[in-house]
Amino acid sequence: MTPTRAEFHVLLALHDGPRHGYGLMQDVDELSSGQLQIGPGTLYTAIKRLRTAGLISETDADADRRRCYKLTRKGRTAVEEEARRMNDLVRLARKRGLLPSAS
Amino acid sequence: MTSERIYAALLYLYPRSLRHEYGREMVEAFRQLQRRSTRPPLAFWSFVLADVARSSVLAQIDEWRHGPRQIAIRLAASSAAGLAVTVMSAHGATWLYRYFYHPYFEGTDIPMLPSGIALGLVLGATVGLAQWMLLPARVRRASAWALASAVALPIALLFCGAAVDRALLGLNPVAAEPYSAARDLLVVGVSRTATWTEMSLQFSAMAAAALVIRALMRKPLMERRHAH
Repeated sequence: MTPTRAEFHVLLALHDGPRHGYGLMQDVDELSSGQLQIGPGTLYTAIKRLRTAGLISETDADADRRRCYKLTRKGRTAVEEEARRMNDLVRLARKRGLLPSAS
Repeated sequence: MTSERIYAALLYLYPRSLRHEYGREMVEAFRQLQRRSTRPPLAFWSFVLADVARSSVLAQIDEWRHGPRQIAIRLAASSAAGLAVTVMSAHGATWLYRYFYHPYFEGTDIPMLPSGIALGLVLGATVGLAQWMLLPARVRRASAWALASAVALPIALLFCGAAVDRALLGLNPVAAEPYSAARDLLVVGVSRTATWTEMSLQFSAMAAAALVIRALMRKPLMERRHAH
């Protein structure tokens, strides 16, 4: 599956380690520098899709007994591939002069 | 507390499966979001309502697209398409047999069991082919392919008997007589299945052929199209 923007950010947040729902919402906000703010609806719709696709799984609950989620091996590969794909696109955009050169 | 109740009520906009699995967590996440929010109430609720409206519609669409009802429709459709190809194959084989008919074959008795297994293989291959063309990329599991074959068998039992006889005789008057051994080969196995053993052998042959097609064509046609 090709992750949506919100799903990609959730995968990216989980790349650092397991998180619970609200923690993920905060991380997505931070990772995107406030450009992407997701509510509980978007978050849990994404979690369900990612779990169904086998990209994330549930892990042990935290101290407050909140359900936590972690990346699976498949999820790690998927997020890395997606990041590589985006990087290739950015490189192409630079080549075509759509974006300023990195140097 | 009232806010949480309102949010809990809004969860009824989501599919039951999502609500059942994550409803409590969603309310908990909403509570924390509200507690730590720095937005004025109007802005906060605008954000929450927009989130609910957008994500609930997407969740409902997702549920409809991936739900068991939709998969069942696709499986039945692909099985029926496979069967249509089988009936056409039967028609073609009958015509060919009639065209190359030789009196030597007259009165040849077609053995029931091998013809049934042969039919199973033909049916499985055509159903497999139809599945490859019609089923979306998400149905990749071997069990789904075998299930589609299982759907095809009762359809075949229902329609491949008298209906195929009528269709063949009606569409191809040349084949009306003599009673074609080629048609027997394709039709008799299903239309005159006598025992459970025969039926299970047919199904096994069918499922095996469908799975072989699946293995040969790893990616569904739709996905290939998107990939290019």
